[in-house]
Amino acid sequence: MKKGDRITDPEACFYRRVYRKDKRYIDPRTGKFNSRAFTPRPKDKGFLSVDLKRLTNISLALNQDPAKFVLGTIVNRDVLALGIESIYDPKTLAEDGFDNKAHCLIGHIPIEDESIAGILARRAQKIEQE
Amino acid sequence: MSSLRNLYQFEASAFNPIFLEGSALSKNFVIAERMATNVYDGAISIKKPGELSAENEAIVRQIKAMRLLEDNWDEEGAQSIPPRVIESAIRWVHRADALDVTIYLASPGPNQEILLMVKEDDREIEIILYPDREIYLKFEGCTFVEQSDMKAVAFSDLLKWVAL
Repeated sequence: MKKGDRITDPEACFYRRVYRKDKRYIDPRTGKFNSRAFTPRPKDKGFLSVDLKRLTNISLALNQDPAKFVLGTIVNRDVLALGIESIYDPKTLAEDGFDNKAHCLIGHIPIEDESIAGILARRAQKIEQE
Repeated sequence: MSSLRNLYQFEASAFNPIFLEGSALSKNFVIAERMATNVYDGAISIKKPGELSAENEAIVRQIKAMRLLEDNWDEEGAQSIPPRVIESAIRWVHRADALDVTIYLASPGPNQEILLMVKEDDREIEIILYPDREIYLKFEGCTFVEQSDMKAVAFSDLLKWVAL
C-alpha cells in the first residue's frame, strides 16, 4: 500500500484519537463521543485524521498519552456508507517531522455538512482504558 | 405556603398525585407534566419565574468556562471560542429554559463552535453555534434525520420533535 491509496476493505478499522481531558468531547453521562470529536480541525482541510488499526497499536495511536487521549474505533463500512473515502496517508520524519506509518485520512467532509461527524460519533466504539 | 404562591414554580419529576396528595398542592403550585431528563426520578426542583433551572444554570456555567480555552486547547489544533459564540450559546440556553427544556450537554468544538444538545430517549437535537452560522441537526439513535439553519424553524417547534 502506498500513500494516496484508497482503502476499499469495508472491514478495515481505524483509530480516532480523541482528547479526553474534562470530557469535552465525551458525554459525561453515557461516556459516548459527541460529534465534535469527529469534526476535522481547521488545519485538516476537511479530512479526519485516523490511524489504520492493523498498522499500529493502542499505545502508539494514543500518542503514548492515555491521560489526555482516548481512542474510538471506526469501521470502514460506516465510512464508505457515507459516500466518503479512507485514504492511506503515512507520515515520515523527513517529510512531516514525525513518523506514523498507520496514518490515514477520512474525507472529504464538506464544512457545511455536520451530519458526517454526528453519524461517525454515534457509530464509533470507544476503547475503554483501565 | 400561601407566601410562595406566584413566586415559585414547582416541577415534579414523574408526578404521582397520590404521593403528593395532589389537588391541594396544585392550588398553590404549578405541577409540570413533563419529566426533566437530567433530574433523578422523584427529585423536585424549585425555581423562581425567570430564573434558570438548576440544570440549565450548570450548563451556563460550563459555557462561561469555555472563555478560558485558548488556541490548541485540545492539543490537536482546536481554536478558542469567540465571546460572541459564548454569548449566543447562553441566550439559547435561556430560550430553552423559558420553554421548560433542559439542555442535555454543552461542548466546545475545534472550529470556534459550541455544541448544545437536547435529548429525550434516542431522539437528539444538536444545536451547533459558529461565529457565522447557527444550525441544528436531528438524530434518532444513530440515524441522521435532518440538518438545517436555526433560522429555518421556530425553536419551540424544533424542541417539540424530541418530546414526540
